[in-house]
Amino acid sequence: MLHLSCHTGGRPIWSDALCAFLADDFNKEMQCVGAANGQYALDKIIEESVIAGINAAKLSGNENHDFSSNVNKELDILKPKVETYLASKAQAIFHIPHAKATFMAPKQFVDFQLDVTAAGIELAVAEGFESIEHVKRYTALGFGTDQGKISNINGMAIVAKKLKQSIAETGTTIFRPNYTPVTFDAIAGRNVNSFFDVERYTPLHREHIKLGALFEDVGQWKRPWYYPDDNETMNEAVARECLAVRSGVGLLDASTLGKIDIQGKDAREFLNRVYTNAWSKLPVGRCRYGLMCGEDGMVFDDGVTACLAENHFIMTTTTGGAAHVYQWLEIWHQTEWPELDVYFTTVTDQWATMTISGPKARFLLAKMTDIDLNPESFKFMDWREADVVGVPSRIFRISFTGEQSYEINVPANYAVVVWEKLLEYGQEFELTPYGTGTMHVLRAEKGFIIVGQDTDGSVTPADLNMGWAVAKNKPFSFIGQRGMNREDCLREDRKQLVGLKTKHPNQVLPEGAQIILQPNQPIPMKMVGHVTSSYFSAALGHSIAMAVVKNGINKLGDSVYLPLDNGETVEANICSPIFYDPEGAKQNV
Amino acid sequence: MKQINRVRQNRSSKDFACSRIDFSQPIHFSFNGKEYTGVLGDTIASALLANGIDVVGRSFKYGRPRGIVTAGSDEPNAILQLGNCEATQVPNVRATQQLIFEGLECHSTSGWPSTRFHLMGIFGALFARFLPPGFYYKTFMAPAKWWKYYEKWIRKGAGLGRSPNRADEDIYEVINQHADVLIVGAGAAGLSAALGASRMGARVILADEQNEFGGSLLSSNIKINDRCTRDWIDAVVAELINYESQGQLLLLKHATVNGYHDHNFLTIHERCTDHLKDKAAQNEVRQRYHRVRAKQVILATGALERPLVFANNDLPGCMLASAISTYINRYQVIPGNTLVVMTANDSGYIAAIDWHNAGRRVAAVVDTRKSHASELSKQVKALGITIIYQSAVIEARRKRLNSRVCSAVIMSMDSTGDAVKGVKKLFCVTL
Amino acid sequence: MFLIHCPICNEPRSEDEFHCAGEGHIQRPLDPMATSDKEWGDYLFFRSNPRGTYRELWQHTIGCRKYFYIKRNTETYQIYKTYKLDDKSERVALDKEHSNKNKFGDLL
Repeated sequence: MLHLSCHTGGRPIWSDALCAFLADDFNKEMQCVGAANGQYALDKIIEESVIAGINAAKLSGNENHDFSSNVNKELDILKPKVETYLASKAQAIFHIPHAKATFMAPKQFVDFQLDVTAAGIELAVAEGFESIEHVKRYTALGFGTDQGKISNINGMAIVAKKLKQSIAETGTTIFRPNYTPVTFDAIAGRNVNSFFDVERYTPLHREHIKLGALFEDVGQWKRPWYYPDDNETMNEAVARECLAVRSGVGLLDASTLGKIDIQGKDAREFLNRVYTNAWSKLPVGRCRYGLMCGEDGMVFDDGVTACLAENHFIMTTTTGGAAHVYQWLEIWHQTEWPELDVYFTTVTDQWATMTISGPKARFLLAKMTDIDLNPESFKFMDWREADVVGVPSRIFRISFTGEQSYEINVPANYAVVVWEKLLEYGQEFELTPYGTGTMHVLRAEKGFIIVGQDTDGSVTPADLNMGWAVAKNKPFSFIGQRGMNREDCLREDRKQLVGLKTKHPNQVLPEGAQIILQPNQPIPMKMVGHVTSSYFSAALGHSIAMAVVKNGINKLGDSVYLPLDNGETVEANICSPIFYDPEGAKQNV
Repeated sequence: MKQINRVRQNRSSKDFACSRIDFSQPIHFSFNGKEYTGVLGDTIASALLANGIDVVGRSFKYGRPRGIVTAGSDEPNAILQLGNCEATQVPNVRATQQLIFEGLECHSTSGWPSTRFHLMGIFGALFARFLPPGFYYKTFMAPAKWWKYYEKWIRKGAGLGRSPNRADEDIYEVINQHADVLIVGAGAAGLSAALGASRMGARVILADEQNEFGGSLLSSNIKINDRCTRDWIDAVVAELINYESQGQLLLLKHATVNGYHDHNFLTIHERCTDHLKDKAAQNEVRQRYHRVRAKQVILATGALERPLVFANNDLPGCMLASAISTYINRYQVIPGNTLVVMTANDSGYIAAIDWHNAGRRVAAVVDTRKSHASELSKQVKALGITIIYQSAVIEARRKRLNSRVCSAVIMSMDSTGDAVKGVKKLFCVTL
Repeated sequence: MFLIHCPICNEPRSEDEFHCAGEGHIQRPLDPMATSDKEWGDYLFFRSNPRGTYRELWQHTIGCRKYFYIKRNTETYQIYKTYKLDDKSERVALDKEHSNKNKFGDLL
């Protein structure tokens, strides 16, 4: 029975003498013994099996043991006296002919489980199926849960006879795991229910539950989605949270963002090579937004990196891209630029990040720390070390909302203390916790992209109208530079990121909706792009959408149409994706 | 129902020296909603045969009645659905491998509406001529939009069991193992190899899918050191257990080595409580999945008997000769009254001898080979059994649509085995 | 599932500790901007995908996190050797393979 010997690629070899298949020598660390090796005499079976056992033991590193040290040689049970019969030779017969021709005779079954008959196999061969694998698939021979254990050889023999060739020439189909059916439970083992897929929680997870947050899955992370008041719908909650940030101050748990600590005297040069923009002149105490591209020139991650010291940076990545970026940095350092003196450590779990955002953010922060928050000295895109309610922290003045915004980073173990104090001091400013739902709307109002939502691996920085983030004069050819200069990446009619305003201000477009230029086209219509992000903006009082449209950057003001799946066609205007505060005045004050 | 095919003799009797069942412990179970009684050590298959059950399912395409053919994992017909409640439903269980336990409930998986009255059976009988291979590819493809109507009925009419629609509450485990030598199968070869490797100090895992070690020796009347095989098995296992107690060896019963993956990575599916109860107790593991990385692998998986293909060879009552020996010697079950054996080698003779010794009639041994005088054929002749050389059973016949085999049509063959002539008809109940 | 000897940890470990990073010994052009679109395309997109011996770059992700090479057979899945990125002896062997390939073209 050679089922197992086939699983990794071994092919059974037909033995005419034994009328059976034997294993080939594909598996070097495997031996067959006994009947599986074509040996049917019991005394011989025992003898050859003991030898095989001893050899296997030796080959696996037990060559120095004394086999018979504690065995009674006179009465060894492995040397028994066995009665034997001298057998006469077997006949290689498989299919017993009937007085009538096979197709007229009563059914002669080969595969019982799937009702494959000798006549069926002969018919398949007559219809031109000559490869045993094809006959198998056409007739379903050996397809059952028994995998044709008793039927395959008979089937092959009938095919061989019909094709007037030997069984060896006909060959055999392959057995695959599993030998007998296995329950899914056994394979899953204990990895069921909450162990099925690991969930990652931020250090503030319990605080979110206390506040009644609903959660969104982002990779393995559970992130607060929104914090509904009694009976509030998601739309209502998000609108309330959005307005609170725009008019007062909101609080977001941003701990899930990937954080990579980068050190070494060549850290700056390394950043120059992996980011599209320039890092040579970023002074200590400042932050910079960076775009990361693949060698093909397509955007695959973005984030803010801060210069902590001359040879020390901290990089933030997208929540979902953290592991990939970390691996990306390692592979380039290890394979292409091992001469660079640079070290990476992932510190995502070591730091908790709380973002306070809104016109009143500075007033709140002033209650928590003594450092100088004067916007003349602690400017937008600065970072400062600070003592926040007694906890050593790093405060980054960066903004994903377009408002005055401070990201307070504290060691994860102190997160709850700082969070509680923020809520306590925040009462006076009606501090409103907000989740990813609101974060998405706020950033879309500002035209900030989310990699993976507004990009799909086929979008260059130029397509995003973010040429400003690509350095032109870096000495080293950074990753992506050559790719984004391929002929195809320089086409004018590439899909480019734009904003969309619907004619009807309350209409929220479905994400993924296709865009056409002429409304009355026959199907298939000519599609020129699609909606990537779409929300209702409470702050602006109308819907907003981001989309990629062919040559869209040159089409500002044009009308486009979106045929929806309910049959309705919606008209919209192409506009800049920056809907709110296009001058960036608010984040700068 | 009475166990009409069971020979009620105890183990000390000479002819049933290697029986592995225990008459003192009757076990009640149900099959297709009907109560039956077996004994400790029975598989579902042996217990059903003991109770004279011929039909265990319906065939997939033609809906023909089908009976038990084998006594092991190669069984194509007796595929059952197990489980006393929704959460413990297990499809695809071979009756020949599942031991019975008190209160076991099982059902045929093919055979809707019932194994006795079967929609596909009628369909198959009426239209069989029009069901060539590739039938499903050819006929039901067009018009495509009808498929959604056909599909429901075809799936219901065919199918091999269903999945449970409640969550399984039992505990399952996955374990990583490392071994110097993994031995697959614990028959004479596997046991010998395990002892050989263990005596050399290797770390050994020995896995066998059956409930007892011994493999084909469990159903053989052959003598080792002039004693029955059980004594030899017991002696070897005793020495192996000694190695196990030293932590050098792992013995796994009810454990099928299911997959042989790259770089000697093998998976073993161990069923810890499936042979004892429907649902494992609290904190008890029902099944284990061993992921083994072995330095060396020994396949001692034995051989499967190959059936001969002849007309109506699927009628209930047509069985493999080795299975007949197993049911007689191991379970004391004789699945019928009169036997016709067709064989192309010597092993068929053993089944004839076992059947005869169990006290029922062997009508004939039909040997496809030319007349010869092997030791076994001499023994068979000495028992007064007719041997018909250079002949074959070309067709099995039945009386009614749903009855088991009742006669065999035998013709002599020319020397190439390609043509037949002359007709002889023999009555039999098991073939 | 492969059993992979990590040349840095110097231990055989199970495949699920590792991550395959595609074909090995792909050299990045020293001056990418000087390459033609074809040369750049060959470097970026085209891989040999042979039947037989293949050298791959792998990372011991749940381990030392170092990249290393595996020389293995894509047909039998046999692993001939694992070696560190800076293994000089393998560089020599590789150069020989390349020069033979150039000499005999498709014959090899």
